[in-house]
Amino acid sequence: MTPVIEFAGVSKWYGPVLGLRDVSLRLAPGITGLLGPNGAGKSTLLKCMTGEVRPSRGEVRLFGRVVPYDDVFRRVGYAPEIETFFEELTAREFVTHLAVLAGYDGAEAARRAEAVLIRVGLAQALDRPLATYSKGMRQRTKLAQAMVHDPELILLDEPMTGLDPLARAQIVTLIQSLGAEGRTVLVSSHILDEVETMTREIVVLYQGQLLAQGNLHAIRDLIDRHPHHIVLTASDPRALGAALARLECVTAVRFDGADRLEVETRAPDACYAAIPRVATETGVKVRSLTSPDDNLSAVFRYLTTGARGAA
Amino acid sequence: MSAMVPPPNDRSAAAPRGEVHSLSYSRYAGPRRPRSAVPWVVARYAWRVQLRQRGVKVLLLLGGGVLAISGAVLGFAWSVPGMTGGGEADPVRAAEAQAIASSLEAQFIPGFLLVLWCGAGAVAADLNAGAFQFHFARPVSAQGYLVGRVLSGAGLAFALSFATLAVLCAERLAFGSTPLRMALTFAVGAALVTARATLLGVVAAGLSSLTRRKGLAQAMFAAVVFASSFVTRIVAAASDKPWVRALGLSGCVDARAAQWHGTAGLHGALAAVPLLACIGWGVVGAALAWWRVSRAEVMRG
Repeated sequence: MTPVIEFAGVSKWYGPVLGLRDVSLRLAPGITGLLGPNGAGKSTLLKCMTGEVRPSRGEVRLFGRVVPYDDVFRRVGYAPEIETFFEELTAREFVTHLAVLAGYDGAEAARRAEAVLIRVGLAQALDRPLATYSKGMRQRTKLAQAMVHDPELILLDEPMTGLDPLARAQIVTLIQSLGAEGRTVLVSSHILDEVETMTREIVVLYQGQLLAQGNLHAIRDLIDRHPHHIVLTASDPRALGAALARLECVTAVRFDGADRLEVETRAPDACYAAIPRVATETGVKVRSLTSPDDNLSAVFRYLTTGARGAA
Repeated sequence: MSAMVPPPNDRSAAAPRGEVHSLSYSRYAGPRRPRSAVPWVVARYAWRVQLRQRGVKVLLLLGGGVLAISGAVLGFAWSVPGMTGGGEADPVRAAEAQAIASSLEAQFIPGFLLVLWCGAGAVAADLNAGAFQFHFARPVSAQGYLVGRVLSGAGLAFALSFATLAVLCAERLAFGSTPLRMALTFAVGAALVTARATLLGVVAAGLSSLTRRKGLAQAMFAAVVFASSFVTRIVAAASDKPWVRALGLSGCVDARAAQWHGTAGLHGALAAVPLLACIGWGVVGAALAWWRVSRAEVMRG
């Protein structure tokens, strides 16, 4: 099956500044988070897909066609990071205009624009000039114009910036619904929690390089150099800790307070399997078991720190 | 007894049985506009915005006033035998040439101001606002975008000159020109009016693409139009070489109009100067705009 997005050895230099370095990746339908700190190359990667930036080396393919290819852009929706645009138009005019540019006739474009603006929560402000919009409303408008032509691939550059918590939740739900409809959604962000609420599929960029790609858990498993931490609350943490410390998969045990212990392991699966057995054998009651590492922040922190260390 | 006919919206009757329907995303399969429509789409939305602006309304009123005055004055002059073209071998032809020249000259200032307002800052404003990202993530080519910007920049100026030409030609029909000759005059006039507006629009778009600052782009455009006009006039007068005047941005089209009437005074190889100047201005403006858009890395293959 042809991947929706395919980068083959893509590098991009802005003069002496490196934007992307030898990035190769393939993405299938669904939601994928594009992660990286500011300046990592996220926007450059997205712009390579929209044809706005031409790779200095390598090839970008969307739906099997090399970008730039005009017909491909009928199938792509893109919400850039910029905040000011077409200030003199109303949201309805702006989105309708871009729908017409995507090939719809005026009536169909107007119908679609209204529907999509209502879907992103701008029903009350359709006919207000964009100049009067708040940051959050602009984000919704950008999202609407990216969706209005019913694209199969939606590229969102920092779509949560400037949104209040309620709006964030709404946009997350909206993005999840786009993914559930079978579209390919690539969401860039440097805020890790945001992405984690939307998807477990991630691409991590750092200093223009592809640092990791895949399922968050799979990536986590691949990082065998990175010790995994499991925090337990138990009735007798010292007894449990002593028993766990004898396991081959456990590299360290730390006690934290009267009922908590933290286990460090380089083989999380084996450790998770062993904990219930050890608890039964020692007669210790385990009240909770969590992993502070099992989130995007930890993976991202580790990956970027590792990359810096290696550099 | 009549057979039961299922209503049109009866899904149980319409849907074939024994099939699994995909609930996944399916592409819109309806009609789409051809890519050749993109310049019109870009221009139409720009015009919609322009027509809301007070400055544009004022300039259109100014142009309308110029049209009304030109129509009244020339209509009066043409209605009085011998008042115009008395010294010409063919007074009717002289009056027809006057119709073309008036539609170019009388509307030059309103037209220039409209291009200055609507076109000279358009690409700069798009660059500044990041509008390229919205346009070029769609099936919009750089060529389509630039043609749209030229259309939107020069469209209203063209409309003013064209309306003036149409009114004056209609008046000429009433005052002695034959329909055939008026059709020829109108066609030549329309070509010259189109050339004037296109050159102003292309040069405005080219200069506009050199900067992100709208005001600077407008200042550059005004400077180029007036400097080229004044410099070529002064040099032409000082050196007694009238062909130099045809090198100016406005002078090249005026010279083409005079050539049609036979009053340009350019002979031999110099007769090609106005046309070459028109082409030169157009190429330079288009090349500037193309170069800038290419640098913005939005060129389509």
